Amino acid sequence: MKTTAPQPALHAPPGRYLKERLIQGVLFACAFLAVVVTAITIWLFISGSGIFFTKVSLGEFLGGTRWAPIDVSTPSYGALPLILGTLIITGIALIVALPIGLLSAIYLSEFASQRVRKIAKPVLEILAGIPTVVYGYFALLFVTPLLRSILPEIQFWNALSAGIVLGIAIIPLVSSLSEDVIYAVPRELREGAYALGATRFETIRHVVLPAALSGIAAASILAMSRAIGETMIVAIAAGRVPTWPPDLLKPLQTLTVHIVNVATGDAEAGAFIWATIFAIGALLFAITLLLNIFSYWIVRRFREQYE
Amino acid sequence: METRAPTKRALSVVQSSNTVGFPLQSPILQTRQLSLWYGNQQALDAVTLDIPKNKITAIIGPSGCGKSTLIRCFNRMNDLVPGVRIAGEILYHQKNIQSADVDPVEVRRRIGMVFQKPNPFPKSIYENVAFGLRINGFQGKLDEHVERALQQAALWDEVKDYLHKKSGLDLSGGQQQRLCIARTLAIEPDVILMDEPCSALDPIATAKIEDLMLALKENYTVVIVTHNMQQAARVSDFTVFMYLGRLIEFGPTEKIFENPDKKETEDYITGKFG
Amino acid sequence: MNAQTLHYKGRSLAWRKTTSALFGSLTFSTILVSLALLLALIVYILINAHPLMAMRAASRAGLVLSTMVIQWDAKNLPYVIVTDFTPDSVAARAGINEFDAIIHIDSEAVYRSAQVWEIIARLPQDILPVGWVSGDPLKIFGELLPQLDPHTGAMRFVIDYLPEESLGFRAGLRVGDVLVQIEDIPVTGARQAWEALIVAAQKRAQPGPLAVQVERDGELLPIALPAEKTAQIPIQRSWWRAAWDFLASYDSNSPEKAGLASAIVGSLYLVGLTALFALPLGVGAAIYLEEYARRNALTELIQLLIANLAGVPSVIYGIIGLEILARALKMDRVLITGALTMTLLILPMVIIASREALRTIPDSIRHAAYSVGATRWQVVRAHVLPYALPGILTGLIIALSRAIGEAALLILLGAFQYLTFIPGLWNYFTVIPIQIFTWIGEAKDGFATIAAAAIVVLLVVLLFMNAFAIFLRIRFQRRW
Repeated sequence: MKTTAPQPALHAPPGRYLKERLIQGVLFACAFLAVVVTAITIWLFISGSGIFFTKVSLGEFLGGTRWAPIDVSTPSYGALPLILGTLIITGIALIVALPIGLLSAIYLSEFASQRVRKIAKPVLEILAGIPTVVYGYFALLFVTPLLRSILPEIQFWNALSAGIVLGIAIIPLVSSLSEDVIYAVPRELREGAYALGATRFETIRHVVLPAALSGIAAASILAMSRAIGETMIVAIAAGRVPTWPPDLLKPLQTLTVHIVNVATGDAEAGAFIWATIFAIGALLFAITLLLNIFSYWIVRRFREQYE
Repeated sequence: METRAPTKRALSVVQSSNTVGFPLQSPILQTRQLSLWYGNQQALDAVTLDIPKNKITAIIGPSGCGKSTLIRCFNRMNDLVPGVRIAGEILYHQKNIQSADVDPVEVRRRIGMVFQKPNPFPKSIYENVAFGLRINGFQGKLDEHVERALQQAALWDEVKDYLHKKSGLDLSGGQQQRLCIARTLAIEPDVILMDEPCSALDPIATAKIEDLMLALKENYTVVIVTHNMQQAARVSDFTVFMYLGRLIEFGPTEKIFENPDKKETEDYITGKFG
Repeated sequence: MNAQTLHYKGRSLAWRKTTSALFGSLTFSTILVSLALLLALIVYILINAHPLMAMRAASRAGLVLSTMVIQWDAKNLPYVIVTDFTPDSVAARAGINEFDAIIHIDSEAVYRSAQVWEIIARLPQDILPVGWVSGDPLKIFGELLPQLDPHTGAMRFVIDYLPEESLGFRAGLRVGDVLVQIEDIPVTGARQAWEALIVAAQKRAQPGPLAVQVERDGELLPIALPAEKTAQIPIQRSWWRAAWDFLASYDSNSPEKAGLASAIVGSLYLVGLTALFALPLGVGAAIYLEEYARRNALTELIQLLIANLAGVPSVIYGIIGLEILARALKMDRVLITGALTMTLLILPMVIIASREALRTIPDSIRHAAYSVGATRWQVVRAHVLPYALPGILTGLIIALSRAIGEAALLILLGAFQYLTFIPGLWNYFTVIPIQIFTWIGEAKDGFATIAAAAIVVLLVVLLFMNAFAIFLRIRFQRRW
């Protein structure tokens, strides 16, 4: 075969390749920042906790019931009061948020008309957008006095009102995540149930919810992780005193609040108290990271199920 | 690059194409034993084909036969699909465009493409046409060039009053597709690839595009993928019939439609499957 | 089998339908609960912020108040004094001095500063009738000297020095008089005599002279002591003024003078800088992941980490910012450090939102651009990015509205400051939510009010940001 035209020059003009690679490199660096930040965080917490654990044994830290890091004469670093305090607050929050959030999600995805949705969704979005200091104010100055009319012995700072309001604050999270997974349940499944003469409730109970269960579990885990990491509501409304054994009606301290305490205290940089925030922070980071990865994993499995 | 022994069938195609008046005097695009896989799934199987210059070549075949995949190889659009693997050669003016020193951007600059669904940019009509010129560093009078491209695409009279006011998306479907053709023409490619350009259009708009194609072949080589056999018969000079990723038959359009060599071709043309 | 032969056991259809309807109502009620909570929160905040106007009106007139306590018979009796004295104020011109005790407002005995503001808020006119007792005993009954009673041996208090222009001298008190009783309260100390005056004055329904008993030359003598002075003080009760004063003044130990100026500027700076840092980084990462990245282990890892970083508690970011930026890199706990740390917090949100926005751009647009010879970057810059920009900005604003309400992270970065200046980039700083947190922690009357007022400001800012996001979404929404 003979060529009728000279071979065209199809190579890239000088500089284009370099420029494109340079841009790609910069963009990659932006994405890679996530790896860097995670690596720095893990390194920071491991090395920072190292200082802490040279002085305090892991057994004392995880098993001790007295948290008194600022006690000059007999400091004590048992984190159980903080851990249990965190769990109590989280538990109360989930008791409030899970049923309300889940039922709202069911309402929005299964019952609500378009018009009601247009009002109900923004209500939840506004609740989600309210800063946590505002919730803290609400808990301390509104909910606690309200609770006092039922439980006169409740103290000014207490775990109950902080937990309840934290629960209110995470209702939108539970509801929007659950709504997404309930919405993702294929229509054919519902139609199958309706075709057999199931009522709407029976369809939801026997078909939709079981199908969405893993997604709802993931949503609950994320809500739990958020509750564990929440700081301001607890710092404002639950008092900032570690107590053992923790009492719902009394002040208590959580992991996050200890960090706030150190930061707002007057300890100088380099004081041993700063090492405690690494140990506490590492614990917090590890818990939330595990929960987040777990829920990410559940969600991915759930997606694969229907896609 | 992986090379594969040609299958018997592919060889026979090469031979058969030689028997009907080929080789062509001036093939502008050629494939040699071109195979393509999406992941593990093979979409093209040892396709060997010569596209003649300044003619309209239609690629027909049932859905999933690989005709769109084939046309997308010519301007390396398949590079954009993750997990694509290609074996064999694609020659443009005898130059393998798959080779390492070839920049796909330069290939696309010379081998333009019109897509199945009109895809104008959500910008003004003028900017739609001017974009290719701008990014290719066009030195000259942009306005004149844009006007010429729109005139070639037979769209100028309809849009000249609101070149800057209307967005490409404000046009009708047929106008949008002609705008896409104008956009392609503006950068003066050698070859225009058309991937079912009329499948989203009504018959009147389709007729306009077909007229346009016939006018274009004076200056351009046109390769069109179509599921519409009447369209292939109406506009094309040569027709390629593909089936299950393989090139079954290639020849002058009248021959393919009136006296095909292969039974599959005849069955498809006569509507026994498809 | 014939359908008629089928027999169903169990619940009737009516029961099942009722259950279904009841369940529907139950789910709907949760929405009502959320709505009720939201309304309760907003109404409560507004009610709590309401006294701000009266506070600022009083403060503007020179009545900056503190609630004090007298320990009396093992009881705590509150009273109100003037602090933070402003010499050229209306109140000062009427004769009110620093530390003077405010006894009556509009013929009502007042015990707490909050009560004063309540009265001011409901006054029908812009004139404030004030009755007060001087905080300087010298100007009332002079200096008292403890002395043993020669007859009973009990402690008694004798006027040792009395200026002629004092109220007591004009009422008839003289040096050498023994101060026995003020109204029905026996005098048991020099300081206590003044406190007795306050308590006695508070007991009266109206400002007026107090019945004081003195012993002169061995005889008891009643003297009517006009200890409480009165004046009509003009006040300006304007919401606009109050709001402006509040927004434009610095933090203070007196809630009626404390304002949000430093915090607002701090918040604006912080949000602006955070946007400046987070937008390019977040969009860059999103473009990489959506437009460039191949599906490989590293990409998967990056995606996993971004999803996880989005769920890391903000205090953790605070620790990172503090230890890495402020301490290791010696940037100190200044505004720019806060903004950088805040960037880390919202970056995952910005990346996720930007990716979603980029994903809405159909591939056909990318292909169109490629087909005319655009490089990958030209496709992104000329088409994908501009078309996705409204969506990206909407996501950014939502992330920034999280940043503007974020407090925990900034507490670690030292925003916990008492500032009386406008912060710059390399200054210590404070922000609105931290200011709220600080004020909530103050016990003094009035701080709960200004905390509520600051919350209103914060919510209004958030409202505007979200309105802008909704505007962007509606204005630039495009159907492909």
